[in-house]
Amino acid sequence: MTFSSQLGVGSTFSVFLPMIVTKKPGQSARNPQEDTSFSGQQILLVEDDRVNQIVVTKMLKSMGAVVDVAGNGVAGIDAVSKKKYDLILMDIQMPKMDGLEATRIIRGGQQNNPSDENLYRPENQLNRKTPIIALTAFALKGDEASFKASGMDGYLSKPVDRIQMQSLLKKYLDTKQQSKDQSVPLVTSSFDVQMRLMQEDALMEPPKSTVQEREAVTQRIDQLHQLLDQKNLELMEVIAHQLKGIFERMNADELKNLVFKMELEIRKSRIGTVSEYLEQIAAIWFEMNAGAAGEN
Amino acid sequence: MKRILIVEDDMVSRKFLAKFLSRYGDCDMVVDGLEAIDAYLLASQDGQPYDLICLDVMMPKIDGIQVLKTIRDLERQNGITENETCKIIMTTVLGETPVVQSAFDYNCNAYASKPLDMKKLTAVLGKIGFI
Repeated sequence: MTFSSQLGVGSTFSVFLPMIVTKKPGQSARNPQEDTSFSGQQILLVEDDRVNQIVVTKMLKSMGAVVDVAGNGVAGIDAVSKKKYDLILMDIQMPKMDGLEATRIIRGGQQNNPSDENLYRPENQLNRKTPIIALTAFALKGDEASFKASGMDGYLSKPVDRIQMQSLLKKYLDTKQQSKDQSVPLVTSSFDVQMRLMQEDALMEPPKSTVQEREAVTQRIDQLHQLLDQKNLELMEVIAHQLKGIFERMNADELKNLVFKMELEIRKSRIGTVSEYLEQIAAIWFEMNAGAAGEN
Repeated sequence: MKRILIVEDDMVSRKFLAKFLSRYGDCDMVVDGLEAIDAYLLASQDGQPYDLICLDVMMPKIDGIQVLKTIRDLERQNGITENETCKIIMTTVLGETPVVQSAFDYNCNAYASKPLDMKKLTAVLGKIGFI
């Protein structure tokens, strides 16, 4: 929660807290902190997209969880053979090995492609029962069935929403463990919160951005909001195009794609969808930066 | 609702074509070949691929023929069957016969000369089975 006080824009954090309280008034009235603290919970995030790695990790860290990151399915399996996790978040589309195949192997199934190095090892049993949640951008009809068939317990759509994430953690994480942790002063959780890296290629650097670039992005997001209020779509297209270029240089693919989709909607003069995309972009951007400021 | 992508660097032609084609579907507009490939990829990723692409040949960065070739290559890689491939109409000014030939070599569905004649274009859309 210190993130919010260090950066002005971090106020998004405090917005979410009262929402949780209204959602579950009975439970949270007794101990409001219980809802947001998952201190000490071990979570593995298997995800190849760097922006998503950052956004999801910051989110989980801010809730007190200990997060390990693996950059693809193979790295994910490697991680589960070394440590017992409380929850695994698994992207579906990944290079080397996708999330479905990785889940099958974690659940003790056979590998589809036996010519590869045999990944099924007895120590994988460690996480055979750990809940696995699919992270997916577009869940189509029938996808849920294939997630279930591979051994997954549920799914969460991307971009990941903070409130959805919280209710998911509540559902799948062992609540007994949480009540044990309550006897420990909450301050210690900030020392517990640290990120470990599983693979060289999954290094959790924020997108390569300079202070100037970050300022340029924030400034353009503000401008887009103003121009949207004025319904000045022509200028919005210009600014959106610049923003896309900045995200492209930062290798922030997810944000770049969202800005591009917004640009297409601007050209069609669809104010409603433009505004939805802008909110989504702003939310992801500020979530990313709130975390980055906390580290500095 | 069908999905249409208009790839055209000239703003007037782009808006004109979008206005005409909007009766047949939702028209996305892009201004160069790079954007065209980005839009194609995003639409496929989202599970909402384009049904029709109107592709200008002469464009900065990546020209229409290269875009056509890239899209057809991607379709092949992704195992998209002939019936499911996207309909692609190349648009360009008259008198570029070698270009027309290479466009058909790379499997475009039709070729329309600019300035576009809307009656002819409608006939072409019917012929390629889009309407």
